Amino acid sequence: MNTLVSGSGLAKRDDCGMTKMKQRLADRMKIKLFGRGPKNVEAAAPENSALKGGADRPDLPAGDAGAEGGRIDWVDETIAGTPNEPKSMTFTFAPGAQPLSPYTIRRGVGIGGFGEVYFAVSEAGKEVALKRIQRNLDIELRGVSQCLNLKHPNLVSLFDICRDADGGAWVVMEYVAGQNLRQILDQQPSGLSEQEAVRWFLGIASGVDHLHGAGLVHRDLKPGNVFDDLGIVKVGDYGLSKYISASQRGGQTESVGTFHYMAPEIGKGNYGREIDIYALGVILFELLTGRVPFDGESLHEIIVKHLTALPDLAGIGEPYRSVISRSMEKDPAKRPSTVEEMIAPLGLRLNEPATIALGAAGSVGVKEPTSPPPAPHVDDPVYFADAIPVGKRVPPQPDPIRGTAQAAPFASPVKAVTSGKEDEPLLRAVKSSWRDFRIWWSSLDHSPKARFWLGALIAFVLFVNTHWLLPVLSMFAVIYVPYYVVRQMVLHSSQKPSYARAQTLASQTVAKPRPRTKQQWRYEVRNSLRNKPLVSRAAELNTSWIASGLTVLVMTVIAGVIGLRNGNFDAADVANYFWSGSVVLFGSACLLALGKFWEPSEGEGLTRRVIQSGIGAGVGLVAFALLQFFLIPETSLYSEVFDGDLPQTLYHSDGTIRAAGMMAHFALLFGGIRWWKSVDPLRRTRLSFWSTAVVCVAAWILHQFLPVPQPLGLMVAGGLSIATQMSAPWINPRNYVIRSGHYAPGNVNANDPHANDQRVSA
Amino acid sequence: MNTRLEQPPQQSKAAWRLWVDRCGGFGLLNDGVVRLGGKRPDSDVEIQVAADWRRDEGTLVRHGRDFFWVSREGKRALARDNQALPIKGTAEIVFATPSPLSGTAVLSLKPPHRFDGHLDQWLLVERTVLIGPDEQNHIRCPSLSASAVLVFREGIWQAKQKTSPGGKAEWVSLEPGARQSIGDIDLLLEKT
Repeated sequence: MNTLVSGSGLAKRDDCGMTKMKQRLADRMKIKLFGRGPKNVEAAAPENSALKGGADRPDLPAGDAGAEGGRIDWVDETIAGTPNEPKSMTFTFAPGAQPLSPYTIRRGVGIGGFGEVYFAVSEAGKEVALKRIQRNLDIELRGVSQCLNLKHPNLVSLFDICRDADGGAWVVMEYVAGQNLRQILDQQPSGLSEQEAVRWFLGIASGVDHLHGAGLVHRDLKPGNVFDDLGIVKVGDYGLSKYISASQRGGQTESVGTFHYMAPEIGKGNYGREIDIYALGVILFELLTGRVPFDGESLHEIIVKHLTALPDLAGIGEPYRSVISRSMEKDPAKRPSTVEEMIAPLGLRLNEPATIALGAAGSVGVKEPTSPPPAPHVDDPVYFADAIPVGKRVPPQPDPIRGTAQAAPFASPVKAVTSGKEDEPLLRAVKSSWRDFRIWWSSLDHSPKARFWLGALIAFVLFVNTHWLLPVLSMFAVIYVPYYVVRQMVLHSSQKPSYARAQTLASQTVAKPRPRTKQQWRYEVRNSLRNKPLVSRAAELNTSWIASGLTVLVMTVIAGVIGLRNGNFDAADVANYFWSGSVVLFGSACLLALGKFWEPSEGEGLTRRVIQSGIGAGVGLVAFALLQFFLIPETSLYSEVFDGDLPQTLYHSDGTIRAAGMMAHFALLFGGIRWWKSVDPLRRTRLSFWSTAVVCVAAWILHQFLPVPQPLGLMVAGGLSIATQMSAPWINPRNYVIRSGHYAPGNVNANDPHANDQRVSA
Repeated sequence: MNTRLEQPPQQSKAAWRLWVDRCGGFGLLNDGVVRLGGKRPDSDVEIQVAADWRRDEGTLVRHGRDFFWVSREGKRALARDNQALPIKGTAEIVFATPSPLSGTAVLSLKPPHRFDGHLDQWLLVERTVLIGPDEQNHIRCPSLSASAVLVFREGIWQAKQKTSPGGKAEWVSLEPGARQSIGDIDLLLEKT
């Protein structure tokens, strides 16, 4: 690892069988890194110890040391661990020296690409870090000046730039007394506890979000640049930060970051804040597992993995798994666009100072008694390697800075995270398998033909096995549904927040109404739904059932009036409407009951579809029984797909439907539609005609394969859609916005005491 | 065992500050009786903490290889390794004896508190102080690879780099106020 390896040498040594295109991309990234002069190499590797050592050795000119030393140490950087510190360097100033009034140097902290960093104390006793800029003066000062007024508890603060008597430039900045995350991860090779990982990650995310809000991209996020300052997580070394905006994308001339945390698009020179999101995903992975997702024997191998491989997330549970997976998408457009969006699935909110202080005083940030003394970080914070013309300074992004957003509604973010772990084991396994399948499926992007034929083959196999798959699935659903419902009922009570926590939520919300995103609003309301007592839930379900009955009655009457308007009808004609109304009533009652159980969470689609299929099979059986009860004449059915040869297990030889056929039809109709969306209180509108149209079209398509008597089948499908939507509870988001000013940044009514008083209309 | 606590075995009263580059600032006390208290401008308590402590919270008394915490109210308790001293307040101070070969004890504060004088730790020295990257050292510096031993002899601090068996290293007298290098370790001693 420590041999001198040039860029071309690496290309020759490559034996991993990658395509020429990948190789070119990897080489391009590498050339951009190695091809730069010593200044840029230093700037991109502020933690690069041996490079610093060479650059600062008194017997070597800085430039000489940077040229060769830089290449060696970039290879060193491929080892995820604490880099070796320079071992034989003496700081220019000894403790007690006063090169810059009014500060007295106490000791050296570290030496970086731009100069030495000291711990110093002012005459009044203020502890600061002093950075003596020895190289790249203009670049460094320009960069620091852009960051001087950034203020956030999770960012290392810069105080001032001063000149000493000899004209030397010094940067005065916040003294960070704790270890960096790299050192802590090295001490815990299997990763941090979930609580600690969340604490670190939330601090990092909050600091990075503040940078993004100020129009900056960090560009070098890694554990070595994150510090624990007496319990407060601080992001430092935004040395590669650069003003960037959507209008200024592209044209970057430098590749940045450290390889293990480097987003794949950096090699193309066209990147934005998404590279920080990618690095955050890598860091979250490392916090939880203790290792980086992509490692290798050479930096070339690591780069290629970033370009092509998928991270192995097998050992990571939800919701971290999906967050990391999305953040590490190769396509930056598929990543979360903001830090806030990234952490929302974790149930986390960005830090505010009060939250951080509490965390510092609590157990979260407390070191173990056996931990080493609070060693100050030895990395040299380097700011703004890039020159930014004053005239081209890009204003901050239009989105509001959310770095000081309020704390999570439920006190502990970890608590919110762990709630996601209460999935039913079988459900969890299915979800996990489904996610793996989707990742694998998306990995076939590069061969769309293969994917098409594979999909066709799977569909064909499923289709020809329908005759036994449907009964098996129905049987499974019959067993699983009662088990799932009972389990939900039993576990439900343990998920409810306590009264004290509910009070905390209420007081926090009233005290600090702030603009929220729609996602945050949904999160809050979803939590309030989870908090609903079982009695209230049962009462609401009864109300919904009554509303459903009335809706079905009205629809049946309207349909009857329209259908029988000529007045020439008999009992059999009327029976059709009774049958349709009865089936819709029974089906909507089942869907409403399911929706009521599922409203505390967004849910997992596949599992819910399976359960709905089981319910649908039951509805189909009831529908068939009612068909017999009402003595509705059986009609011979025909399927164009089967060309009249309907499956004998589902249809009689004369084409009339069997009970199994009716069950299969409704099982597919229920399983194919996301009915829980129609009954979700957080749906966009009370009644969506689009949803109804989709249901009718789905029923018609289904009819082509598994026909049922028409137009009764379509009437039932459409009626189900309308009846469920009309009778299910609905929280009007517009009403919520008007009353509380939520999730509308420009429409905030901060003093509305009824901010949390949402109306649930049933 | 507790009978002789009122008479400390050591009488010399001296304190130093040791600044180690790339590591931290450390207070050194080789007195057998050390008082702890809240930071006050006119206080003469040896170890002061900027916290909600009283001016004088109590005294740590060395007795052989053991230390006893004697509170201001006169309650005595054995100071145990890696455990916090029983002082009321937000600041939590931990007592540790990291090396079984030395009776030197280390006092450290849990975040977010710090010692007065911009120090990271206080060492209650019994002749030797070990400096190095490992946990068994009194002064642990993860960023350093070298190790050193400090010894207090006849009122003078001397230091020597720890070397592999067969290697040679000479004792160097540490002159207060002058920076000295012990192998790769740059340090400066100050007399307070």
